[in-house]
Amino acid sequence: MNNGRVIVHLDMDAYFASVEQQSNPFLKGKPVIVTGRGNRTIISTSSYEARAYGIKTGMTVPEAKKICPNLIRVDTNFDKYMSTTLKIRNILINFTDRIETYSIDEFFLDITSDKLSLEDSDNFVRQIKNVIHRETGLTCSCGIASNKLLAKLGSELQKPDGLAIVNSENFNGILRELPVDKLHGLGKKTAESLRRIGINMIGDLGDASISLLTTHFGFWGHILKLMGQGVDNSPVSYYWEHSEQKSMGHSLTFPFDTADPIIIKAYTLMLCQKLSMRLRNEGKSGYTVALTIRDKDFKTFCYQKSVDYMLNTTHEIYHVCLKILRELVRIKKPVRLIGVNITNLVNIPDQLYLIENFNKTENLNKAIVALNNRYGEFTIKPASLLTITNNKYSRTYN
Amino acid sequence: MKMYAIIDEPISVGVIFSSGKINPKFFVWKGKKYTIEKITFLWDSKVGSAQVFHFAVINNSSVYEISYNLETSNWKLDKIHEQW
Repeated sequence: MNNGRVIVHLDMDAYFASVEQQSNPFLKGKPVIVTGRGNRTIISTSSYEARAYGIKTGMTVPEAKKICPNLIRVDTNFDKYMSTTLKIRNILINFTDRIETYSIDEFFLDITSDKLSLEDSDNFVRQIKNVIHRETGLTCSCGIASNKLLAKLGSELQKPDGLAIVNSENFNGILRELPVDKLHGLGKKTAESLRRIGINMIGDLGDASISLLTTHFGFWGHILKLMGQGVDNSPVSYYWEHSEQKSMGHSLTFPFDTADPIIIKAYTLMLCQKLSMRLRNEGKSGYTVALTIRDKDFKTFCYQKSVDYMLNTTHEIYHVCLKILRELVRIKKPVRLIGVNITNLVNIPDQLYLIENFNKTENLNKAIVALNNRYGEFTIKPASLLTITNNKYSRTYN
Repeated sequence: MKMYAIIDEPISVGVIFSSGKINPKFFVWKGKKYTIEKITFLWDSKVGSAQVFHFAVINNSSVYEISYNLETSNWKLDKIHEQW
């Protein structure tokens, strides 16, 4: 299992809630939940004090308040969290240049060196933790192992502010007894399929016959077997390497559940405008639009449509959304959330259109994007959105 | 259940710019001076093309969020947090 590599998975503890507690010290030691704006959003994260009451990510605010009436609610502030994540990443760059930002609050680090073995790497990682705490006031939990898979499992062993080394001894002793869905890279559906064939724990997966796994999962069965044995040879990329973005999207939780097609279309247009602005800022176009609809009972449906031309203007994306709404969607219950995603992304240079009308639309879109970039999103918006104010919805990003 | 009040009003700020750092010391809002006892957190954001620096600061056991727009050189009082 030990290949000489020393990989760290660093997981910020209750990140959004900790940032808010650090920002407002009077929240320290209190049960805090971080949610979107409005009364209808779900909990993004909660402080450890709230978790002690049984508060979980994904609960609605009324559900959480039933369990803990004294909960303190704070609105998400993604600017604050993104800025802090960049600050943490800049701290990590002082220790190694192999840093992979796995999510807004998780990093993989490769600290492999001739002078550092897995067993005596804990002091080095403790230094990293100390600097992060000194500079931001935040704590993190770290797992150290010979690969990313085991390091990620390790960071969950001691939380908060923990540090755990995963070697062959504790892999066999502890990690083999964890459920398969704890494995990084193994989704809920695969975990369900594994459970159906009697594979519940990581150890079961490692011991399963390759023929059983390949019968059910094809070639993926080989990879699953390796995962169950704690084998992962994937590298930690350098911090300046960016993996190509595969999709881009935005979603909105409505201020009230609605089945009114005019309101649904108005919000969809709003999302298309925002998505178009982002696509064009990053010089990208896509060929597939996916529309996500979540109804009042939290049932989520996803519909998609591909076209044979590149999409990146508001009207191009909106036009496909309308087609999806018209041809694929049957709204049976009031809608709670809508999301627009664009996939099959490609990089595009600035396009020149020969047809005059195309050029006019293009120039109009460019002017809208320039004004919104200059003065903030939705400074210029379609007339149908004038009744919808910006502070009446909550945002998510991907 | 509101945890804070959004103020969004211009303020005057006494600040030390040193070694590339912005260090606000006090601010004046509606004619009253608030001494900044501690900066608890700072972050930045973009409003359109302008970079904005945000500071969470403590005065007299209350937390205030103030911000500095680098493009306009204006300071604002953004929020006052309730005490808990």
